[in-house]
Amino acid sequence: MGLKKKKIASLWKRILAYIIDIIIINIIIVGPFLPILNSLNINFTLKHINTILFIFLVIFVIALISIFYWSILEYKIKQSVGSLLFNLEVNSKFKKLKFWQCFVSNISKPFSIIFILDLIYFLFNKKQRYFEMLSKTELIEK
Amino acid sequence: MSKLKTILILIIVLWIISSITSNFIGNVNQFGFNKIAVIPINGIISSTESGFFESGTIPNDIIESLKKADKDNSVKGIILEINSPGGTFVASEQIANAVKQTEKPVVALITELGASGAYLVASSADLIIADRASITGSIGVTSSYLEFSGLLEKFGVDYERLVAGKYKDIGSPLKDLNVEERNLFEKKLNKLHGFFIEEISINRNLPEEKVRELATGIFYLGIEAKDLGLVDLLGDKELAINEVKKLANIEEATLIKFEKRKTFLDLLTGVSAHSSYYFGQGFGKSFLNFNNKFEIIA
Repeated sequence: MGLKKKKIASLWKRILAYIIDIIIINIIIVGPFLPILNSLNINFTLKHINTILFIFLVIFVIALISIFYWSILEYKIKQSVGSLLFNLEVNSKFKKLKFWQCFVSNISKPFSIIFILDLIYFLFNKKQRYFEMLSKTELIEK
Repeated sequence: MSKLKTILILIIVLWIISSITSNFIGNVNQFGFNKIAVIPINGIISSTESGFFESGTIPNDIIESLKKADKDNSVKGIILEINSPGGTFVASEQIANAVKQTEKPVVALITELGASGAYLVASSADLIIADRASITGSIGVTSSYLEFSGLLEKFGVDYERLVAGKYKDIGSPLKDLNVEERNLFEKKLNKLHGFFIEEISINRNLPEEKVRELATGIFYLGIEAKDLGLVDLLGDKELAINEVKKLANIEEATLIKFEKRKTFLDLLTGVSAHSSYYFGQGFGKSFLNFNNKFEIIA
């Protein structure tokens, strides 16, 4: 019986899965924070350092909860909603996938610019994103 | 546990966590810095809910926001951002009274329009700021309505008058007003006009005679209103912010909009209430129901 060769998830599948997850995150996580952000008069408040700190706090909390969305799903079922739809799965280089691996692997995802850089790294590397490499994980096609 | 179940549970849990966290962050005294509450007053001021695509102001919503801002220790002052042609006298007066009861400094900023009932609201603030081209004033009351009796007569439709109480159908669009009724009507409007003048005179600290002279129903541009004493300063939001800061004796503040947000359910019930009203009543019935349904607009 021959071993089935693992196929690394392609770039476009990664991007589409990411877009689906971002839509879900926008509804369930960003949505409840919108009234706070909308109530701030951005043009005026950007002149005030305290308010900038407050906006950063809100963004930090949203990012943290979003990372937990990806990490918990990947830890529990090895897939987020997006990767489930595109049949992608997270694999660990260790025997068993650990939570810290899922967390580190998803750190770049809430920050679009960092995630794009992460994907550019993948384009050159062809195997892993930078944060996948750090977390010793890989995203494969099932 | 199936994958779908895990996903659903996680989505619900994260949504609850996000809602609780956002509520907590929204309610904490944002690092202890001062806030200026901005309360918008847009569209027609009326006690009845506006429709899906209409903008309007309901006194209860504004009163609720004023009370919330007044109770919030981090709110140091309030800006009423007005862009309204006015509305019913009672609704406008209710908001004006709530503004007067507020313990924190209130600045009324008239943007495009702050006329009639909206001006009554603005006059109850500690300071009125308007643009030089804003439309304001228009101190007067009206209860004009369309009268169809001539048209109905043309089509051979008669109005069968059946009333108990001789003025019960006063203001009906299906009959002509007689002299006695017209006098009665005008007396009531004059009384309301008197209330309006009295309120403006007290609020603006102007002699009643002077207000009476100005209260012809004519609107004034911001620049004219300033010369007449109906407006304190000419300027924009920046000026309003600076004036609130001065009145509240603070140097820095964050602007926070205090506005009752319509939930999806509110919007749906608004649509359904309006559509039910119009469909249920039907054009013909609402036409007949004009009896005594007129409003007094300030």
